[in-house]
Amino acid sequence: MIAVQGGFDYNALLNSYPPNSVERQVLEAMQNSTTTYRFDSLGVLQFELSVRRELVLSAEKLNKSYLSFATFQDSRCNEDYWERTPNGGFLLKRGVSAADAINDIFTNGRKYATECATAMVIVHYKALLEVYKKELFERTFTSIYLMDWELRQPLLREISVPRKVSELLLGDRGYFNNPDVDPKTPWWQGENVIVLPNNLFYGHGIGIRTADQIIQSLNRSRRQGATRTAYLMDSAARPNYQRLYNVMPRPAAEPQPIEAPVIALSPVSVVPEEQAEIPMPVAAEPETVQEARSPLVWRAFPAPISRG
Amino acid sequence: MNEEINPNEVQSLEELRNANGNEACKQTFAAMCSTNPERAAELLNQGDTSFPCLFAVLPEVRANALEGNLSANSNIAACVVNQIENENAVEDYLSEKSEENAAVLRWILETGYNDYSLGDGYLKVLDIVSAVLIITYEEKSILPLVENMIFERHRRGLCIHDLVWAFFRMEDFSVMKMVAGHLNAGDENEANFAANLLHLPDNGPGNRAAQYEEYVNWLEENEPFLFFTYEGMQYTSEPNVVDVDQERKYMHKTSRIFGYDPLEADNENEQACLLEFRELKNSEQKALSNYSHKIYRENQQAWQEWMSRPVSQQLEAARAGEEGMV
Repeated sequence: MIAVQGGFDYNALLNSYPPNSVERQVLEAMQNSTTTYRFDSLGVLQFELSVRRELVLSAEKLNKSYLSFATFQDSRCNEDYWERTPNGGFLLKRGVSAADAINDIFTNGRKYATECATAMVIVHYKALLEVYKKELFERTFTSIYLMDWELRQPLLREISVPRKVSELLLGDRGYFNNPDVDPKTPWWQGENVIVLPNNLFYGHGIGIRTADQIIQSLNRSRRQGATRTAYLMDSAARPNYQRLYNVMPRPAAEPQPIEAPVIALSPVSVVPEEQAEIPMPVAAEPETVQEARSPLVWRAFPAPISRG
Repeated sequence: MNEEINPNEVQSLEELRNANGNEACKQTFAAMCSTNPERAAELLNQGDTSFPCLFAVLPEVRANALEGNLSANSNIAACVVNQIENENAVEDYLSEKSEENAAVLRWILETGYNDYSLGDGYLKVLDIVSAVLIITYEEKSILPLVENMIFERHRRGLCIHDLVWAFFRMEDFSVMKMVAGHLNAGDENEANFAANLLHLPDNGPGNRAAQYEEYVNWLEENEPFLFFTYEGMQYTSEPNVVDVDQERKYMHKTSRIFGYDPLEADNENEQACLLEFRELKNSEQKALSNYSHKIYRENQQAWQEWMSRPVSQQLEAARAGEEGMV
């Protein structure tokens, strides 16, 4: 269920969104959940719904962008905007527009190649660009580092650490694990995905597919003699929507966050992430996890195996 | 071509490369290929040639169709590189287990692990060779080399993800001790990186020795109940590669398990305990399993008596015991 501080009219909010919209589907999933999704204000809830909509749209756009799949050692980027770091990541060049650099991945996808986790990070930045708009996005993200889950960005830290959830919601980052992956192709040890409508998932390198199709695809990259199938994990990584909401300009009636929300990181930050983080109000987290209501069948991680 | 090097006077490609670098070695080898390809292949097949040297001149070997002149081992190594570079390669030297192939893979790693002059493609070869040796061949002798590569690459800011993933796939807790040894490193970055790999908190530079002691003790105490989670850096920025199976610690089922495997009870009493145990909060499960392990080691008869009580009473005793009241 959904709990908003001060209360809210669920039906009125639901009906403010078109039928079958991402926002509506997320609202219904939250309301029907055994988990209580708590929000400090209606604004935070509406913001989360907007970001989730853009996460879905950005994933669909990235799938059509001709961004190639490559390991970090084979990664490439448009050097007009990005510097390729020695470990295969992409660092926003000084003096270029962060918004233009993110958009360039979607418009000049053929100039880029990376693996599945970095693609998830790109989707999150693009979604926030669409919600924040260019000016606020560039004030907020003065440095962007695209390299797996090494984000160097406290505002987005939570998307790098999945937690067990009772259900996957549209826009969540999920993960298919492939425990018996072939050592010749370690990059297929799993697949990061964005949850899309109609029981579909976007995973870079595999495309937009059903869970079964992704599992089949991963299973084709298992080692000889493999006994365990790939599977969807019962975890998701969700950004701290409250903290991201605090970046937004606030109507006069609503209190401003305690700390200035704009965070600027140097391209190569020497400040440990823990210390660099600006204290923010705690985001709404699921309070209880009782039983999964998702149509997907969950399996514990890691998959069982025993050896003598 | 380097004018100071006369290809006819070269006695060892390895020495040439060590003295003059990759580019001079490649150019000299290319010149030899055009004038005396048999001599070029002969030099490459000498016993002192390392894998990095072979890798450096491999484009020239291919361009001059010298593969047939390579020694059997060098040819396998060249095929391994081709297989890794080319998804559609026909020959497969990485899937089928064979002692001959394993020996070449070990040679690649032993002579090549410490070379950082040949670029990303070279490092990718080392990543996959390491993964195949660890997962397919369970080759423990290479673990110190992989450990060295992980820490050296981290120091140089190079990609470590697949190497770290492969290292922890050995499914031997000695790898955790190897990493823990770096907690005592004088280099703070190295010690912090080791702490991250072990999923330990940043205790600061002054407390690393204590953290090492604590971790090794934890590892030894819990080893019978540990399992590898298979979490990797592709999944999370905070992988926790080894965890305690609290159920097995609680029931004192010491069989070695790789990967989490839900415990099955041997009798009705165990089944009842397990069902209740699974309903407890994580903190309560941990308290109960720690206490169970403690009294088991001290007095097995007392442990059996304690296990026969309802879980609520076990928990009460555990709490009291932890406070020194029992």
